[in-house]
Amino acid sequence: MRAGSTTSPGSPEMYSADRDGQLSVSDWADQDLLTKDQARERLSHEIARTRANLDRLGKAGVDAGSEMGLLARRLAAMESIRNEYHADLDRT
Amino acid sequence: MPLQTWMELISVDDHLIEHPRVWSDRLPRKYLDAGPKIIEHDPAGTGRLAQVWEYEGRIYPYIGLNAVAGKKPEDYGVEPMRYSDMIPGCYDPKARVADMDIDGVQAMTCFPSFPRFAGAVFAEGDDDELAKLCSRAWNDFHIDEWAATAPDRFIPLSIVPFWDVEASVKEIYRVAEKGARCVSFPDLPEKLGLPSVHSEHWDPVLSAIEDTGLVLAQHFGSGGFPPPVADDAPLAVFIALMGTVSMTALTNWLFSHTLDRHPKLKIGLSEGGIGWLPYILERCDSVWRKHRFYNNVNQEHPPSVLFENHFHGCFIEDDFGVEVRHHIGIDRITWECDYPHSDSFWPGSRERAAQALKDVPDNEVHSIVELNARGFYNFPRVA
Repeated sequence: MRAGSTTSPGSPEMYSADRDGQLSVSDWADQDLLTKDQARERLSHEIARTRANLDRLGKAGVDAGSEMGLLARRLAAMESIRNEYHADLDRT
Repeated sequence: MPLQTWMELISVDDHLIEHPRVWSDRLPRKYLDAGPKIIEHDPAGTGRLAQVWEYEGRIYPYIGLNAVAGKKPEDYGVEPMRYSDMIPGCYDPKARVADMDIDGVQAMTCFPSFPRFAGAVFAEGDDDELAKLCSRAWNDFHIDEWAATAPDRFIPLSIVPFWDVEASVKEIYRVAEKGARCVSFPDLPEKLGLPSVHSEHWDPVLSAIEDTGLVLAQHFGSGGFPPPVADDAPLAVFIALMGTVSMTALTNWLFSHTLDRHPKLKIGLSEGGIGWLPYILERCDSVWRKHRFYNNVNQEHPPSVLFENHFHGCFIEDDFGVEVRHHIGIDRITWECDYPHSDSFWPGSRERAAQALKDVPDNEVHSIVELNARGFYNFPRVA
């Protein structure tokens, strides 16, 4: 453990690190990564919402081609990623 | 709608998980065994193997917390896991860009994971040469491999061997030349056994950061100092108070003489929220007015002046902060996404930002979500 010792001799120990374990304090002890399951649920929700938006724009019949195109591309991307999670999670 | 489709969301606080070959691809052969590598480990003795980092024989069980398929938020704990359990956007920059696309996010700033947010893991290494090579290797990975995958989508971030000032200065100039836009630096260096920001110890490092125009990014918790909570307090208390570490870091800067010696230094308070800023600035100015005479503090200007000249904060969910934005300063506020942590709103970050900013004038929204970050981090739009 060098921090402090190379620049400030005699300064207090930096922090304890168990030789067989994690630092006593993790930077992200409070941080959770998105799980695949969570990601799939969030995507399903967003896909349903985006489909509803597309239906609404389609029924309105207004000149929304550009917006609809963007929504359709985003929908396809979300479905593609969700399908990958389906495949992953079905295997486990 | 104040958040217009042509406004690009730039996030200044996100994270990546290092893939298993980050160091083995870059360290000299003699260090391949001692350097960070992924090994199979059975932490509970149950026969369920986890992938964990090993560095100089020490085992670091967390390659990414809780990215375990099927796990519910109420079951979150601190457990090891495997890369195959993670969403690929954690460690694969192409998958990350795909996730950013559906999230409506143009660019982001990814902090380290295994090295900790500012590279403090290497400060505990036994072999100083190896530690510095590991720090350098992370930068080469981040700039040459991760950010280079999509230069207009990732703001290149770097770490430094902060336990050695001279080496840090050299590394700052090296990474700046390679395209880095910011340096992650411990928020409370004194808690790492190093001099505080009140000392002159860091002057060469801060001068190098100034000279290169990089942002000094202080992610909360990067100094390894947790907010004080009761031993038996639920994790929720700890989580709720994490931002107060940024408050401590900021207050130290504001009452130091250091920023007066570094008038061009830009400091980002990463992931700490913004709603608390008006309070602490008012409090600091009040303390300065009443108590400056017997304190070794700048006698010429109140601390809030330093905030206006040096700092920016960021938020992901801080409706109060948005409400009091004029007390903070529109030009001091940036936005964050925090992908891939579960705090993020992915894949609905853009919609959540639109909701949060729905009552904010367009020009202010544009500054908050895009222009301020592009300015601070010298990250202009690609034509």
